[in-house]
Amino acid sequence: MKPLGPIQRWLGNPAIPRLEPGSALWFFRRDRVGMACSGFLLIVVVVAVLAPYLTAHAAEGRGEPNLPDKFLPPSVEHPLGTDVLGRDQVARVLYGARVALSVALVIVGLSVLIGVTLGALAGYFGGWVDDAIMRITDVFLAFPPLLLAIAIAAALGPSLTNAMIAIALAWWPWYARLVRAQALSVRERNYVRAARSIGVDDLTIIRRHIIPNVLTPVFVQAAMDMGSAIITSAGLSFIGLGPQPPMADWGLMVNEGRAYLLGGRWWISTFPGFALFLTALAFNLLGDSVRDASDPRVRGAGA
Amino acid sequence: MNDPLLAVDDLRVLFHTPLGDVHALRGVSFALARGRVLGLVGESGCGKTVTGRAIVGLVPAPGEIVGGRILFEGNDLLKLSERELRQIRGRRISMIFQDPSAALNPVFPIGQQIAEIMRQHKVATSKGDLREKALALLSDVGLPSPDEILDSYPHQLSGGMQQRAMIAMALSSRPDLLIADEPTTSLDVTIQAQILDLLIELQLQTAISVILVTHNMGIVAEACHEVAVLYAGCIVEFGSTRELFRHPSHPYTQGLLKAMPLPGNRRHSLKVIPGSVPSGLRPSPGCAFASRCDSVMEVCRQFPPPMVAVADGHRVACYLWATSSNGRENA
Amino acid sequence: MTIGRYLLRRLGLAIFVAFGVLAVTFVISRVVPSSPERLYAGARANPETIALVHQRLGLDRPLTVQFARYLASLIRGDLGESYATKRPILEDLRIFLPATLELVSLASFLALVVGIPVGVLSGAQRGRLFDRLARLISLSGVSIPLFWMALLLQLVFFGLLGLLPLGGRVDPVVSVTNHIETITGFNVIDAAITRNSIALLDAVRHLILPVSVLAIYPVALTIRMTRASMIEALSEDYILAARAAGLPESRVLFRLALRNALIPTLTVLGLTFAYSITGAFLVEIVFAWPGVGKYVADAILAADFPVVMAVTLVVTIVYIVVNLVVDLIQAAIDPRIRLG
Repeated sequence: MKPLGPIQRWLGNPAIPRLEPGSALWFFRRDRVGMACSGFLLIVVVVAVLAPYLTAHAAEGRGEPNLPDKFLPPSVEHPLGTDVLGRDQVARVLYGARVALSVALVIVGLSVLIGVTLGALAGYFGGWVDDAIMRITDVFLAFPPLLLAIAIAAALGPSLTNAMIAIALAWWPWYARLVRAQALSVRERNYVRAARSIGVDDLTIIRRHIIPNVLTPVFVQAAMDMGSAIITSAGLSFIGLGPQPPMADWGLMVNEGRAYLLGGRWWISTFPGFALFLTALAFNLLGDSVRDASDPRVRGAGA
Repeated sequence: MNDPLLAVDDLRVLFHTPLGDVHALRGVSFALARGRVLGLVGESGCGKTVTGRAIVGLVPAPGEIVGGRILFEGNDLLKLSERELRQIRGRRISMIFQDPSAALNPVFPIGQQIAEIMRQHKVATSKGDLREKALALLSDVGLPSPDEILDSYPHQLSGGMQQRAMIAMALSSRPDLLIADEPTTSLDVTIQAQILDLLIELQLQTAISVILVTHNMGIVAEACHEVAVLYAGCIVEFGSTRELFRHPSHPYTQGLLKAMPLPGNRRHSLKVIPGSVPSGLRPSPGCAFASRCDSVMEVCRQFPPPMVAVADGHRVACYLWATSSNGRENA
Repeated sequence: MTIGRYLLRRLGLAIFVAFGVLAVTFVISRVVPSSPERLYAGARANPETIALVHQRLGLDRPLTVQFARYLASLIRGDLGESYATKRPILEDLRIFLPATLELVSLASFLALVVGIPVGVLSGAQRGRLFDRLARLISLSGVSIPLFWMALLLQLVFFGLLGLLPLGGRVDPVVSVTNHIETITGFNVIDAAITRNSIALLDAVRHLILPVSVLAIYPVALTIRMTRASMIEALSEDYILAARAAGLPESRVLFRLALRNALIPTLTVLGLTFAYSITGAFLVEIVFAWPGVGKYVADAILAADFPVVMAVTLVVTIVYIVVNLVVDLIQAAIDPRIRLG
């Protein structure tokens, strides 16, 4: 057995999957599509991190205008053209990748954090804690998701941070529900009852027994949500409720190019939107692969 | 009339899993005459369920029948088209399953499900006729107030009642062969006995042939004329029930019988067969049971054992019997 | 539990949730840092006017009092007035809501009519060509940014091909020469009822692009969900039993399996309706479709509180009602569900 890493020790459980044949990770490795997406996304991450070094127009990527060069169509020097302020689109798209990825991570991370915590508390403690949290969840779930995010983002003021918070606040109920269901069933298991009877405190039980059991479905859901996070935040940016100019955000860029679309300058809106599509597609495919690898039914017959 | 109803000859089934090819059936052969009950016995994973599925051509993906013949009234079922097979399924050969709550469609009332089958096989066509026949079937299987049951949904019935309903459905077109795949396993013990009695009674009344798949030797003793013992996809012993119980010849069969808790056996602890069934992924070249056998010999590990006659109608696949001239000696 | 009692209970729950929704939106709208007084009084108002407006709109009272007054007026059926247009919001909604519903209902209809059959066949033909194509298309469908697709289609069908209009609901010329009498508020229905064929054609032409874009996500999602639940249903024992009983494959698929697969798919349809409502916002902005989405988007950016509150309330109520209907339909189809 491999020695336990720090996370595993904190969880008190070797809950992280191994690479034996037949395990979820092994199936994932063999899924060519899933691996291709992982590779693609890895490249996107690297590109995003190294953006300043990958383009000669880093300053433009960050937002500095270069007016003499405005509205240049795609060419060898500017493969994706330039926008209304003369900024090189390649640089803008690269910098936009940074925003997109961090946005997705923060949104999903925040929703998971809030949702898992509240869901675990509700499911484990039951009683009035459960009722209270569930009523709050019901209210949040009553809103059509995007609408709530729009309203919160509008209230807090248009900015990148606020958009992320808004979407996370709209999404956490899903995770809370998911975790609560799991927590309810795990709570009744014998080893949990045994732990309580010998006086182990509640928080430790939640940490050691409940959380590791909910990790898999939460992880699958989170993987599938990454794609939606990118699209949803782009939607907010498009309306103007996300990152503000001169920041390079793909949704914002599509909006900026909107006025010039019919005037023949199609490249300003098209390329950032395409980047959105590809990234979301990769995340969604990845999410599917993760889900398939974890689903025992998909894994192939017994005898 | 003397020809067997069903003759399975060297049936081989493979399952193509991501981990490799699993040999589920490795050359299974047996015959079943009209009006007789054959028990297919073995542990989980020995291939008894797969055999039943193969007969009706419903081996689930990723399984594949890769060899052998299944002769039903002289016709090789493996050579029939899907359409021809569908004429036989439910009409000449029926199946009942282990978990009746899962085998009955939860969103349709029982009456509709029976009617659908009867209409398909033209047992009845008009609404009135269908209802009449369905009511008769349900009371034949011992269900009280059949008219209420007709309109009930499966989840509203108890496990025993569900199983009776399923038996009714299977017998609705008066098939020649019934494959009963562990029909009592998921039921309560008392209900198990009732259902078994029902099956035996129906079999005597209609002279239907039955293949009874089970892991329970007690059921075999009570209900079956002949027994085939399966291990890891091979038949290791075959004979009449009486003969097999009196003179179990294969070490596996002996182990199975010794592991049965019987009244009067209280002085001895239950004998367990050590080890577990091999996975079928990489079958050993010799006898599949070699790794768990008390009497294993070197030749057992290296070459597959031949099928040898122990007595009339009683055969065993074991080297212990191949070496002795008098079949009744125990090695 | 009888249907009556169940409905009553759900109603109670819905009212509670609606109250919570109101409270949340109220708090949100009061947090807005921009100035509603300025919106109401006009950009050039002087400080005294601003202060007067502040008092007149009741914004100087404590929050709880404001909330109570708002609730009181709601019960009277008064949704308030827009700060920007000074018109009763109810009137505005009467015009804008049907326009949005027209888009949303057509998109959901497409999801049903296209998504379910494709999903069924996809699940039945798992792994084969049709399935792989359907999966690729539906996966792309849920990954496409709505607004980007809208812009691209505009570019192609209007800019390059000139086949379809740029936006709006009616052609300005047609709206004068063949004006549609407003009966239901749904242009297609109204034009059909009044036999106004020119206007009908015009209305349909204007609907094609917005509905197509809006329908992408619901159709794709429905395909995915139906496929998944078909695969699940087909792996159940009762399907094996049905096949073992010799029933034809078409019956097994479209009656026996589908009935079971529809149950989880229906919940998704409720979700797609909800998604469509909010997706309609983006579509309306791009195609200048005079609906609730555009109305509320403008209101948000201008800090027009009452509009934001009213629209959020109305849309959420619609959402709650749709979910309730979906639950009821589910209970009707699935005999295992006992209400309550």
